[in-house]
Amino acid sequence: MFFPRAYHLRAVEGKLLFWAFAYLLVGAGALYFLKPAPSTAVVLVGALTTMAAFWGLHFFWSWTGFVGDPFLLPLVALFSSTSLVFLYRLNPAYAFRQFVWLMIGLFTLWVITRFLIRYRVLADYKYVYALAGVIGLLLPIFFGVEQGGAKSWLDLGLFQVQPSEFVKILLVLFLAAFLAENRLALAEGTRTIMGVALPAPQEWGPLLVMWGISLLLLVFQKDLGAALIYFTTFLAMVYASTARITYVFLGGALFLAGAAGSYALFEHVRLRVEVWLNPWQYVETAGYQVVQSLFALAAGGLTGSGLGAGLPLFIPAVHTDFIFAAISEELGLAGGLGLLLIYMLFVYRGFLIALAARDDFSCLLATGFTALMGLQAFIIIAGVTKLLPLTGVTLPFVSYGGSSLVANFIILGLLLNISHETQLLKPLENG
Amino acid sequence: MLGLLLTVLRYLFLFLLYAFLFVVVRQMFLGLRENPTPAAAEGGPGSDTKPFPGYREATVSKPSGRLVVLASPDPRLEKGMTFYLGERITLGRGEHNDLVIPDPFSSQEHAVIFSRGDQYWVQDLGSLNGTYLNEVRLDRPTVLADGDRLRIGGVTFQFVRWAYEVESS
Repeated sequence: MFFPRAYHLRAVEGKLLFWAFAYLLVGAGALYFLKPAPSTAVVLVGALTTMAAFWGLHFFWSWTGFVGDPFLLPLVALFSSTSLVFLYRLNPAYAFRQFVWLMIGLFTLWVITRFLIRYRVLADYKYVYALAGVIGLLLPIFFGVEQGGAKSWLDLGLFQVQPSEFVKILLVLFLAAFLAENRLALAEGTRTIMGVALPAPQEWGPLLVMWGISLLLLVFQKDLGAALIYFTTFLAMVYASTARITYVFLGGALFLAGAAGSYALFEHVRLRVEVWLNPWQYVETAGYQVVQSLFALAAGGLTGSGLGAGLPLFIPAVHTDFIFAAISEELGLAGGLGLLLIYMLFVYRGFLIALAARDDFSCLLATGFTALMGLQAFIIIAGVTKLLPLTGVTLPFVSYGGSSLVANFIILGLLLNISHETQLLKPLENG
Repeated sequence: MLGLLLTVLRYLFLFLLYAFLFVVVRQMFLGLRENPTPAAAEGGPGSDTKPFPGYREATVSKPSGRLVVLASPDPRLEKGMTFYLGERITLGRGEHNDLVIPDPFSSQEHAVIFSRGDQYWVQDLGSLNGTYLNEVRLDRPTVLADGDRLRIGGVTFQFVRWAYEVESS
């Protein structure tokens, strides 16, 4: 079989992957020449294996005539390259683990684009997702282990899993299926109270219940970052499906009330806000991380200290939440902005996929996943640069963390499947 | 010497980040300027793939008609969108239909349009809210004529035959 469209798209993808790999190889080369020794040559092997894995997926898609978006995989290849290079520079042990997770992630991506190409069947199980999501959030409360103030990890012996990373996928799946079904009722309202058209409780009830449960659970888990991402993604999807700004204002007001309430109730929230307002008064204790991050950003200057020449290891958790500070220190403002631009391009492609999608479910799914990615990147970068109070979430595809990486590859796979279907259906219409 | 090499590699690393960005943005830009309907440009009449049941090249020998959207409340079926009719296409809200009608008043399997000889027939598949041909509810399979209006829920199509083909037949 020969698909000219697929050939063209995959040719673009191949060309972009080539540039991403040049970037990875130069990074790995710099790491090698920092400490030229036979044992360091493992970075070059790792870089070549990563390249081979991405190329393998690319050739598989060319062979099967996959017409998914050609930009997403190269953008993710660049994120993964940055991730591996910086994790190796920070601590080679993290880079090895991340490399293994990357391979698992790429395998997951292959499975999704190979066997879940008819992703629409996912729309039929929305209450299963709601249930699975609630269970996924409940498990760590009873069986979880605490790390960095948040009790959101499950210890599986060999490795630890963070269920909330996967619950966010379930949340988007549930919301997309639910909103696609009830979009008209929510947008236009079925009854009128005081001149305002409102939808009936059976339409917004399940949303609110689902919502309340996740927020309560997150309060008990103390995972503020995840709660913030869930809530903003939820608002983005409701707005995308109803085009009613009222819901956004209402949600914003609810959020502010919730924020004020948790500020009054919880010690750890109050501390976060105070550190955000003035980290210098806690410079030796709670503010240490943010202050070190600010020092790192300042030390980077315009073009950075150069790979391996900075001192990012002063920042606690630099390999997960604060990896952006390390990147900005060693690649400077230029490198940080470059990475931000790549996130923006990723979000741009995601919204293009959503706009082109043929039905509500696909459109909302793509919107939700894209909003999730964009908001997550924004929230953690804003936390690291002290634009917002710090909430611990990972930088998608770049931070160290297996659960997060695999979850992001699942999202990537579904986005690609949606764009694949849109491209296939394109010839049906004329002009 | 090693120090110099390292410095060069460090700057090259940053440079390649921006080179990648440049190439990506350039390709996206080229993609935008490309013809947005790739099938006509690249598929061509010689294309041996026929993955879309409702899609058929315009040929004189076979009957060919099309449905043009006249009105639709849902943004996914825009006014002016054209669907070419094949041997048999199904219409309905379900995703498995050849032509998906995203309208709350459309049934899962709403109607079917099929060709017999050189004519197109439309048949309602027992839908709840009915299929209207020129605002008359269908109760039996009916022949479509050029200019007929077909309405399902809030979505209205106009049936169009190729002008030159009407003359030849």
